[in-house]
Amino acid sequence: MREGITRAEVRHVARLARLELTEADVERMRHELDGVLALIDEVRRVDVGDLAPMEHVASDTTTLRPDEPVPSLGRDALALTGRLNDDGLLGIPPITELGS
Amino acid sequence: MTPEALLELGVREVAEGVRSRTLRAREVLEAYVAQLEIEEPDVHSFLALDVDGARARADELDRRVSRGEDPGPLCGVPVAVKDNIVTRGFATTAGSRILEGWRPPYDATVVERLLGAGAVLVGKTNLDEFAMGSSTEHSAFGPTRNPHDLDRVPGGSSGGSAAAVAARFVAAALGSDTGGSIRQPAALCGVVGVKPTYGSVSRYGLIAFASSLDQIGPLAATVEDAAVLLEVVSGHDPRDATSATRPALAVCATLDDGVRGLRVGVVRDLVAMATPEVASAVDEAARELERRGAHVREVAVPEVRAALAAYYVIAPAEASSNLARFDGVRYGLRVGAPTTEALMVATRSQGFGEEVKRRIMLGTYALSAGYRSALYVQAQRVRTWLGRGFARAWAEADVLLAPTSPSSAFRLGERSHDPVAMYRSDVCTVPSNLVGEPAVSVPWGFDRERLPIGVQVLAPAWQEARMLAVAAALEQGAPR
Repeated sequence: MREGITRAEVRHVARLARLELTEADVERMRHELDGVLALIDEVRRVDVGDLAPMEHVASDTTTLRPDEPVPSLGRDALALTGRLNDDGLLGIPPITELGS
Repeated sequence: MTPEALLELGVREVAEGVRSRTLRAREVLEAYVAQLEIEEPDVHSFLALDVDGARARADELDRRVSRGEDPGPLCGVPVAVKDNIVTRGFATTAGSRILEGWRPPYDATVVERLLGAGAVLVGKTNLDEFAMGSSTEHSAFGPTRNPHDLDRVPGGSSGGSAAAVAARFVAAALGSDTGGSIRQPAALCGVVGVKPTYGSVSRYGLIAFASSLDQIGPLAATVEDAAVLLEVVSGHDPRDATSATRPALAVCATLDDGVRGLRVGVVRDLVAMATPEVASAVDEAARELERRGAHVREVAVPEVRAALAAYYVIAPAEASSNLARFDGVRYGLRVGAPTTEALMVATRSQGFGEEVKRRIMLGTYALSAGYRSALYVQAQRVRTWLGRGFARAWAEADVLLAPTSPSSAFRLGERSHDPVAMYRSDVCTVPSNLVGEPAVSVPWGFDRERLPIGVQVLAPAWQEARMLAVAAALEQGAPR
């Protein structure tokens, strides 16, 4: 018998997913996920014996391209994204928090 | 030729007309634009239009033809592309606030190939945010409406592409199909939609939803139109590591091969999930194939009953990983905050819509400690089991016949607040994605409310030529 998802689990998963939920969101999400989990619980009830998991459709016709340098997109293309600063550099916010 | 007559032409007729100078690309485009200007405000199939750019492109094609050049098999054909396929310098949102205002620095391979074949890109079509949905109601920029009944959904997630083709705003369009997102809207809008074999069409430039399932394919008014587009966009692409090292699919030359002697299996396990009207449409389609010389029998694939559950573990799990890149640092929306983590949380919480958050939560849960083995790995085992079920079916049948959608178009708002009801819309289409095999939805008449019904032809991997020949036979025999 499947156990329902708890509010604490919803909060934990939201933290892992980097999503902020209000208390009202938590309860609504718990209710909605509970319904979906009841749907997907069927995978646990199917007897598939010792079959191997399929991560990807098997293919013998895929290949990596040759490991040779090719030109990158270049500054003109990156300028289209609107993220280049006046010096033509890609500006991003700090992504390390030294000393924090 | 009158504008109405131009809208009746097939993709091949348009291209041949423009290449032979009996038509001008510009006059073809203007016929479509006139249609678009009248009905698009009600339908809302586009997120971005570039009519001026399309006019300049059509004029350029006419000049090239007059200089003796041959721009290619889609010369002068007005097309649209789903807005999760990137276009260089042209806004691409994937239906999400988190990418609003972002302009990609490159074209997707499929866009390069369409343009390289002479197509005229009119705009980018609406979709459920990040292609997650079955109604196009989960677009952050408002829903698309079904041209057959504006109170109904066009299906999803490629609802904008399906509606744009059905309303004759463009001759054909591209969509993406992770669990039915080309075929289900095609069925609900009364057009043809092809989900080709996994690895047959490059995904370089497709904004990823679930990488082991996603596939790009065409939506068009006829099987032949879809086939012409499929030949143009398929074939190996070294920039996509999952692209098969095979040449482009060859499907047009055999469209008229007929079905005589073919073994057709009706998948009763899927027919049983459909409304009585959709179920009888599948049975009528089967009788039509029999009348044309096919050997029709029922084929049991009971494994398909577990496919929806497996899909709604695997697709959200992969989505939760793929959508981790939308962190406020690299693309689109950036909500300022004092720390990096707070910036990521604020950006994602404000940028993603409710359905995307729900799927990220579901996928994160399925991959989290304590559930990964019981849910995610178990769903992958079910996927293997499903593959064995289809392998058994292919020993008995050359193609399979099933409903595309369990029902015709539902009303706007009818399922948008009930995720499970919405997810059940995908029950007949997800099996082909899970096993990586091709399937096509072909219109088969209308229900009592004059809403289109689609029937689905499934085939083994790389058997698109046979699958589309069956679809063409159905198209010829379909009720009008």
